Amino acid sequence: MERQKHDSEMRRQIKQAPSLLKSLYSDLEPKARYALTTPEIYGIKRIIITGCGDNHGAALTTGRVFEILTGCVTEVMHPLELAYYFPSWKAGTGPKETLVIAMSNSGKTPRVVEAANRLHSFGAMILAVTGNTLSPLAQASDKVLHIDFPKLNPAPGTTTYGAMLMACYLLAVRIGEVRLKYTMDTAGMYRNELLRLLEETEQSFEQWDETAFSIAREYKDTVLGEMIGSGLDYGSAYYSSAKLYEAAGIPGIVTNSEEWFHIHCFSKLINSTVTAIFNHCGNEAESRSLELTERMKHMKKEFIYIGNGQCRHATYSFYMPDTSFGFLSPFIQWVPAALIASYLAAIREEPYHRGFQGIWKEDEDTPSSWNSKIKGTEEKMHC
Amino acid sequence: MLKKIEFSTEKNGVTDLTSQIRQAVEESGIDRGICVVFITHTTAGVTIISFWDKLGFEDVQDELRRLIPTKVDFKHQHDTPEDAAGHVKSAIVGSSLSIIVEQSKPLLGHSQGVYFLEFDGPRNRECYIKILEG
Repeated sequence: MERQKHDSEMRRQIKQAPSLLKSLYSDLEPKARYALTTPEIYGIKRIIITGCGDNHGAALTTGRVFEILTGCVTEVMHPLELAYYFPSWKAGTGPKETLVIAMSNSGKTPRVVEAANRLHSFGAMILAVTGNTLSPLAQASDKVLHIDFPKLNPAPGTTTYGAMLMACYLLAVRIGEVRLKYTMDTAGMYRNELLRLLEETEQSFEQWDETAFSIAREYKDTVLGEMIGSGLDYGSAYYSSAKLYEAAGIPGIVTNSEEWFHIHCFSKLINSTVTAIFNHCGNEAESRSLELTERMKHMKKEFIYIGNGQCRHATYSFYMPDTSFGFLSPFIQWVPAALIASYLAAIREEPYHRGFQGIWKEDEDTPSSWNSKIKGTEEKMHC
Repeated sequence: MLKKIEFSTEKNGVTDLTSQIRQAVEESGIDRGICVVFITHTTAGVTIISFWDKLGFEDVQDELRRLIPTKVDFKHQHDTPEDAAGHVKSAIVGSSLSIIVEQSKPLLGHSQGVYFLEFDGPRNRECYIKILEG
């Protein structure tokens, strides 16, 4: 009953995300299949994946997936780095030998548009992953993978994040398949596994929802989030931290299991911090995550475990569905963390993005994520 | 009588079907007729090859690859370049054989064996054998 009282638009969107993503899949899979021609796929020597905010998290999550599946050198770069610091010689000497996957739901994110323009001028092939085919990003790109998002009520991005992950996974699977890194049957198994993980998420939702509410109730006065993930799991930590800021106004740091020992373990906020460790079975640095949990136990520090293994020292655990393909695990890891953020926001009565009120008010005179001058133009980019 | 054979292949492998065809003919009890061997795939073929030297199988696959190389500019891009090449090889080699049955045996020459040619793989594959009296 008390849980129902703290329902929110964000939570409802998280709940419907698996079914929405399953319905998006049938549209997105053929689009990803035909996004690049076979000669274009064979011409790729390196992949750069970029996006702002949640999409930076999606890039961090899927960057290594591209490397694992395609065998191409893959870099996750922030659009600011690409737009201002990336030298032309790094784009290679041949035309279109660098593939830039540029993500923006609106297609209007100023730094992403800038990055696409700059890298295009260096001869890179730009593939926009966007919900807007008429956007400046789409216009700045050689190719567009259109995600046909349904119109959703305003709330911190959840389904859009899942859809961006799905688009990237499908692109990576496709590039690896065409480059004959595995058989078509195996590629089909990877694709089917994405759908199966969504089904498993639907089945686990009620249990995760209950746990997320318990955590939010316990940590309602928390002052800091500490999201820890390594390798493939780092992107989930990044996204989770973003949701704490956006939904609940709580600062959230992101780190990996090694840096935590070097820096964050010296914090005196032992149990007023909401700490989550993301670790999927088979993570190459799993041993360090285990040491991390041992150290936290020694410090009597409570933490949340999100993964598909067992973690005996965790105060709360979200058990993710098992999968034979570890690199697919992060596809759904974001769900429990987003639920925690949604309940923290509801319990603290925090409006989305602080209601865009007071000092958080954003208008055309205020520089913001969407209101920024595009380099090389006198025009400001407006959503 | 219709018999289904199921088997797994290796990438660009060659699978001997001869003994299973002989057995199917024998089990049918048909003395004289036709044995039709049919595969249900579009990236594989079925053909007759001499079995004396196993390297001859590699020669067949090598020469098919020389004639139809796996190239990136096939118009069929729904799947992979190897799949597109496989379709062309399959069309050339064919997906069925008819073998005369005489005295309850397939009328094969002393060097002839029936072989399944994989142009993709590894895959799970199947082959149907139908024996008609006449």
